[in-house]
Amino acid sequence: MNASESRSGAHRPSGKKGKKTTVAGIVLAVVVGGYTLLRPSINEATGWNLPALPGKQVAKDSVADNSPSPVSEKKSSSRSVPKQTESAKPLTPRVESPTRSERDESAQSPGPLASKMTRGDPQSGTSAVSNADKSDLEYGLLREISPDRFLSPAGVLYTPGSAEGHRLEHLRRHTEDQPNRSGKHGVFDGDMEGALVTIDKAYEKAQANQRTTKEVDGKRTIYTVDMGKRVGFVGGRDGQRSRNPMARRVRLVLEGNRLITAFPL
Amino acid sequence: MAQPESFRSCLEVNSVTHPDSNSDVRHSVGSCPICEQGLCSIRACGLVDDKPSHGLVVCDECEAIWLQPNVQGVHIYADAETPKCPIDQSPLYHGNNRWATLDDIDRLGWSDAVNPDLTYQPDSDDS
Ligand SMILES: [Zn+2]
Repeated sequence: MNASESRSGAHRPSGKKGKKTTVAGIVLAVVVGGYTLLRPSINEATGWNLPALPGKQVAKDSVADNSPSPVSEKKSSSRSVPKQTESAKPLTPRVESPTRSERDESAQSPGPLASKMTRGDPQSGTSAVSNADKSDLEYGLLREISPDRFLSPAGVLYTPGSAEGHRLEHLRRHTEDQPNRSGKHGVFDGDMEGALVTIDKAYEKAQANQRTTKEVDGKRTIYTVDMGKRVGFVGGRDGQRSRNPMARRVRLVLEGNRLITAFPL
Repeated sequence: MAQPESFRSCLEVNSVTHPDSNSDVRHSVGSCPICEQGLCSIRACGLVDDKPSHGLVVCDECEAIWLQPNVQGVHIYADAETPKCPIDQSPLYHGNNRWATLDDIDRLGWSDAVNPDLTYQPDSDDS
């Protein structure tokens, strides 16, 4: 409501955005200041109880455009989770948003993997996302949309399953070499955080059919995506024999948007 | 793995599938023709008096399942989230079954299908 009010006097489209913002800001400041000063008098004279303005309201509204409500999405079941970039929007950089309290609630009831996943901060410190916001995300990337079910920004779903008990734990096998394992064993660079980011990029490329081969086998889809640069190395016994060559392709095995396994090739 | 115990206890508390598969030797019949990286390992299922009544071959990457020790044959998939043995519907990884021992494989009559070069013990790679 306040966001639309603050935008009503100035059109958003490009051009003299900075200047208009300044003018709008001055007007808004005058209005807000006047309201704040006059509110007690009006209340006293009329017997009304006009609400006070929260201190950070203006600052919050100025960044609210990019913050769709994550609340409804959080409650949605995984079956109705959007497959594509819609799901990425809640993770766009944000400063304190009005929905902060709801996000805190989710942070207070982490899933069973959270204690492991949030251990250690992701290495990338360049994002505008604050540390507090990132700590709400598993591995700084995944949102827990329901207990034990995690959604990536690109829309990849990580759920229970596999011999390891959870797809993320299966994926963890591909963040370390298994030199005694026969055959090849793809290992992602960058630990879990790196693996998850690479998988998201591969998924986006696969959806866009960029440098991707696709095989469909019943419910399963197997993508092999050329990432155009190193994303890991080939381990296992075969990899060791050939001095662990770098891997620049990723194979994704999916059921819908649910990840079954992924590894570098 | 660095912190397997803490993770396992988390899983148990939350009644998520209990991984049974990280400490056993796995005997395999081949590399997976579908994902091309998994090992197709034998599970001994339908245990009666600790003896298997049937076997499965399961890819440890993509979880393709074969009912016979021939991975060129027809494969199926279990449910991705709650995988079950397609024959007796016991949970695939923590039900009335296990990664087959050589004895199990002998009882199943599948010994000739095992490729000893593919035998793998996940614990052997733990640091
Ligand atoms: Zn496979």
